[in-house]
Amino acid sequence: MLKIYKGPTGSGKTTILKNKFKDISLDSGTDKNIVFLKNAMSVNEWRNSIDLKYLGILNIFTYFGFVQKELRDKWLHIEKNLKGLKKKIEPTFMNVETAHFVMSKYVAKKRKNNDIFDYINATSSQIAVQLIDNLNYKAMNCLNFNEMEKRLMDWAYGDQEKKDIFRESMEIMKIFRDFCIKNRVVDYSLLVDLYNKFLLNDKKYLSKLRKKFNYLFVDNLETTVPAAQKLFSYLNKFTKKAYMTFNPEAGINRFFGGNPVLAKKNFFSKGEIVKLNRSFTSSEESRKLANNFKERVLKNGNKLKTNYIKGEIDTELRGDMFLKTAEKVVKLIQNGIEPGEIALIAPNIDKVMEFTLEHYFEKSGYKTYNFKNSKRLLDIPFAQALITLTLLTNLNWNINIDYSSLNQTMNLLLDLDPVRSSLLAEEIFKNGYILPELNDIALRERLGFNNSEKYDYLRTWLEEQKNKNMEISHFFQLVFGELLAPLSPSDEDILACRQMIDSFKKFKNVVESFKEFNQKELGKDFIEMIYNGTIAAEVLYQNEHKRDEIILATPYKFLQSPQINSVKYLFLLDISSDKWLQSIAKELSNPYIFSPQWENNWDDDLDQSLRKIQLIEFFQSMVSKSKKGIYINDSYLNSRGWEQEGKLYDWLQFQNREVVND
Amino acid sequence: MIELRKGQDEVAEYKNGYMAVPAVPGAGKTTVLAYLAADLIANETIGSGKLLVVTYMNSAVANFRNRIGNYLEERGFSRNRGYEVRTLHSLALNILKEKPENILINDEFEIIDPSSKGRIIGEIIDGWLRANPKRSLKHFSYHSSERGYDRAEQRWKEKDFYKFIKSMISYLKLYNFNRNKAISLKNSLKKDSYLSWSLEIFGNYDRFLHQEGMLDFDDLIIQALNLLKKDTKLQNRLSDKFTYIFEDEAQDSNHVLSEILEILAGEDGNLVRVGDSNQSIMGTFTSADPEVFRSFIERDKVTKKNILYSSRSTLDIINLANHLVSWVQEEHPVDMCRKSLEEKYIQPVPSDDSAPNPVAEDYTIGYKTFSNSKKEIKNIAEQAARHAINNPDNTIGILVPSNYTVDDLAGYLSEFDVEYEKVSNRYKEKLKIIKDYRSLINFLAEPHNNSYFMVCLKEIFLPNYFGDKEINDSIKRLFSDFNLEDIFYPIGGAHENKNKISNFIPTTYQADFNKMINEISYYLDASITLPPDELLLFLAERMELKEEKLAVIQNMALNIKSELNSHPDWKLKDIADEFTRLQDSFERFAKKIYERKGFEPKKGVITITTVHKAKGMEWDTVFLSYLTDDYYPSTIEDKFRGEYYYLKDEYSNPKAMAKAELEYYLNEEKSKNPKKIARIEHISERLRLLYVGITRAEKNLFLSAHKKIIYDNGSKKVGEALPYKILTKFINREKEKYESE
Repeated sequence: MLKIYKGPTGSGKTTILKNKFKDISLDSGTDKNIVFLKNAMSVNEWRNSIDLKYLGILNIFTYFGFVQKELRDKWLHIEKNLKGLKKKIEPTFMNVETAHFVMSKYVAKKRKNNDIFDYINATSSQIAVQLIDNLNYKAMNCLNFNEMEKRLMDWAYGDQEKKDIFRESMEIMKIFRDFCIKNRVVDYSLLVDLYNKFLLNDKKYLSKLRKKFNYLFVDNLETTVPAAQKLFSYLNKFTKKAYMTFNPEAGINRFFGGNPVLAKKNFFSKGEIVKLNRSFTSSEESRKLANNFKERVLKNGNKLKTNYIKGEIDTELRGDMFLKTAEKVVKLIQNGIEPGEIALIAPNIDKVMEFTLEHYFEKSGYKTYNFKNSKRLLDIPFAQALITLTLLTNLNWNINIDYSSLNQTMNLLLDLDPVRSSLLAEEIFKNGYILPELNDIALRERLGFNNSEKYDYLRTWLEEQKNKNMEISHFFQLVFGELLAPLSPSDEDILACRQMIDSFKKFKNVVESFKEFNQKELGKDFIEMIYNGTIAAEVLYQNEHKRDEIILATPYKFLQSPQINSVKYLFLLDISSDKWLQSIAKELSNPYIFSPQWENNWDDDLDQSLRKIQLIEFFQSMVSKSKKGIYINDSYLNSRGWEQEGKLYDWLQFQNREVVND
Repeated sequence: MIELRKGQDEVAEYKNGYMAVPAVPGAGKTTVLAYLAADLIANETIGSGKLLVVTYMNSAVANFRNRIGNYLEERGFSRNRGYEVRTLHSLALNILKEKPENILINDEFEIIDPSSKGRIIGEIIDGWLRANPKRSLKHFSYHSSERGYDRAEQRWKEKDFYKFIKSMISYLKLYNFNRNKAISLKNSLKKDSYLSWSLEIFGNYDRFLHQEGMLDFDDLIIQALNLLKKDTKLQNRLSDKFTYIFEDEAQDSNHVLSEILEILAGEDGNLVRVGDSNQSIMGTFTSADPEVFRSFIERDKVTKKNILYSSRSTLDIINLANHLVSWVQEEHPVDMCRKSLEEKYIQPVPSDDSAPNPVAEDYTIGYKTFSNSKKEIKNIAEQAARHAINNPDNTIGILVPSNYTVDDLAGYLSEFDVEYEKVSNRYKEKLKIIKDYRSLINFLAEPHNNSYFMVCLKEIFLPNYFGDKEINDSIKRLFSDFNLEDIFYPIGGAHENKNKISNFIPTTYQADFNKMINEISYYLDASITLPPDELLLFLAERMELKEEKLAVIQNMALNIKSELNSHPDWKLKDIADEFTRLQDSFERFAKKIYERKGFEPKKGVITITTVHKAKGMEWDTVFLSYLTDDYYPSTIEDKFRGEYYYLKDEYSNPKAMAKAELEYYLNEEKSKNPKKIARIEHISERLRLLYVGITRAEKNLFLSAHKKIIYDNGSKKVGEALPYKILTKFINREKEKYESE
């Protein structure tokens, strides 16, 4: 028996689902329950919220997490069906980063030979990302290569240039797929294809699967991809009870293949729909605005009539908009609103926005919770030190050591001031990256006695490591243990070093599977790839959101986060940016054409209507996570100096507005 | 409420359809267009759409927005609603951003500015020249053993060839060439034709941009058109969005932009184009083609409303400008140049107008021919300086043909006690922030480097101290006696520093000095922990930068972030090393931001500018100099710029030849004498330039010429320009009339 709880953001769907899970688990344990959630963050959050007394096996997954687990468990069965001589007892899973890297290599190589992609204005890496996306869409929509090609050609319609390019794309995607199968390296698309082909079609597997679970729970059905829905349909047939939630205003996963329309078709007629109208995270006024906005956009109706928009900040320069926004936020806090009750939402959070707002709040005594709190690994001195020292002990790799990196590493390891470390960096640089004897360069006095002693130690230590031919991850561990750990690294520094070590291990794992790659210089390749931005580029250090932190997020992150239930005030920034209304289509990929709704037609009307629906759903969901009001904020020029005229600006024009630009 | 003049009132009655508004200099085009725009918006004639104004300069964008906003506000409406004002490139960018994927462009495309474009083309040309060393010299008139050959070869390879190819690349883009089309045409051409070379290099350039995901400014426009042509539903959507379209300075349009605007307006739409063909002077530098506006005016379905009344200048100056028009029309010695100025005469406004033409008590137009160019500019400088001193309420402009002359003139003016301003340099002070940050980055990237530090000290931290010789010397001694680390991070601690500093810096300055040392230590510490983009934002915050200056640094930070994304291994030193390359784009942004505020000549201050840059400006008194046949040729036999002396005569104008050849392949019309046609175009544009120069003057005008031009390394005899001779005759006659009255 299937029950679907249908309601907008904040109507308590997930809470009901969780309570059902708890009730059933209390009654019969957790082992026979299977839960599918929208993302890894939600899985963690759900797992952490389960009381220990229910504890049995917790089957809580994302769809991809579940499929990956099944594939690993049943690999030998799959291996029997695969062609090729390179049999393996378990597959190597390839993350998106590595898939992009491998695909980029193919594209760049082919392009260099001058025989493909003549008409596209895009870098090889941009092309690679789209080809990987296409493979994923194909898998998520349970299509084979022929169907995929046909859809691409239909999309191109009469455009011969596009047709040529799609043919070239198909060729490369097929080569990539053969390469993965041959080497038993599994990316997301192959993962889903193999699961659907060899497990979901296997009677034995299915019979075990249906015996395994009695209760099915699916949260956010509207975000699920067709392949996942196929699995849920099967499970739904055999489980005793199934509970799902559906948000009719939140199809925000379309770009990633989520298909709310199909979900409705697949499940609504098969169960009981429980409508939830009450909203716990919004107010009457915010719900009214959410509905008015839909009318405004879809029917191009009159200006919004609302009291929910509390003010508008409209400036000429973008920097001024941030300052005025920050002033307004601080004023609200001073008037008694908790910082954590205020969310600043922008379609693109760039460095200028991040820096200006965070620093303003910091100076006013408030903290910011930035959902995009990622840093480039190389910007963390501890991580950079690992690389600089590796290069100093492997000069034969001929990788250039950047002057500033050398300066930074000396500064860190010897606890020097920036002037003395720079002085030293120059001497090392002049000496061909070999640390010179201080007496030879008469620097002992300028560096100071204590510093010089530390330098001498480092110099000897580095000399000892040369020619040891240690594997890079071991070397990293050694550096961390002997040189960096004593310097009292912060949690972020430790995380960065750990990520560097893990990243190398993963890289090694994948590259060892591809015999086409040179295995001898793994360390060198790894560092080159970090240097050219292919792998391990960013480190994410994120604590839980606290109530004293002002939220800064993109709409997607704000809505996807299970941590944020509701805020009092929303500030929408850069409302005339065209990024609020982006197309899901790119030049080589388009999730819509791979979906079951595709009717061989793609034109401006459809494109616009999908963009509008997407914006409406984002807007409605965001507003439904707020209770007191929103502020709209904009600047005439963006930070690149171009005029901004995105449509959201017009749609948010309202009567009785109060412009806060004094 | 605004009072509209004759001509303006007819334009303001416009309700719909296609309309052309040919206007004369000072006709108040912006005023009437802004008024009309506000009127259509306020009366809700624009319906649910918007009114789009397209113009060519950033300063004009701000001007239009301001005026439309004011008119709307006067009528009780919101300042910013119902319209958009765009430069050509900004409009093209917005169209393209609608759906770049539809024409196979990735939506994260990078727009390269002209300096990056120049660098990329330069590198591609270098490669081509290395691969084709002999071929590129095929049309040389010099033999390698001849005297002057080396200099000619150097000039060709390092300057002229590059200029020729760069302009051909833009030209080919305008005709929608892509690499494949270029290769296929090239294969049908002779190997040594100029067009063939252009196509080869174009192909390499185009391929480079495609593979790097880049678009140059020409691409923005042509690709916007391609997108519109390809997607009729997009066309319709944008037509519905822009219910009215106004184009300002329509004489600077080209066929691509014209097509874009007409597509956006739709066949039965509302399009108003305002311009003055007689002021079309951008053809040499851009793809502007005055024929586009002329042919628009002639079309049947286009209503034509002239605005011929102008209150800018005195009647005498108007008469002089009108005389130039009638002479060109009726008597120019080259028949084909007679259409270069249209028969459109400026009329003074009625004397009861609320803003009447200025009236002079005397005949205020003069002229003089000097024996050489040096004497000419020296005399002009003297006259202008005297005029500024005696007439502190007047604005004064000196108009010269080139930037070299601007600098020479500034040299002379600096000998007088008068203020002067170079238009090309008007942002120099504003751009100093970029230079300062460059110095700071250099220092912070290598903080032990004393010379980098001294630059910062002088330019940023203590600029005032360096005016005082005594302190200046003390500071220099302090930093030569001690190493930087001993000042900023003394091993013995802060008190050690105090002693050092007190020995060199006078007591009254010590507090300030110590504060500075502390501040720089903050910067230094930040330079180690922050990535370069964040470091810039940090510095801006510490320096408490605001508004435009802050915007400039924020833009720098974002640009640097993009560089770091493309080169993840880069650190501060790399940014310091790459700064020269990036500086142009920083400056371009800064200029754009500051240009919004426009340029207003100040009373008593002399403005020096090229005639080209003077367009859109006006002064009480104008000196228009260098009116020689070298700069303003009048016969086909005169010397022409763009023709290279070291090439065989029939090949001496590569651009004209390549364009003619292209024309032949595009239209199968063989141009009989491309060199002659290029000369006629050049003469015509120079006549319009002269017209623009004259019509900048409100009350006083002085024309001058010379008989010999003096260069740094020689001199050349030149003659007075023919139109100058004609105008001086006219001036004499008019003067006599005055005297006899």
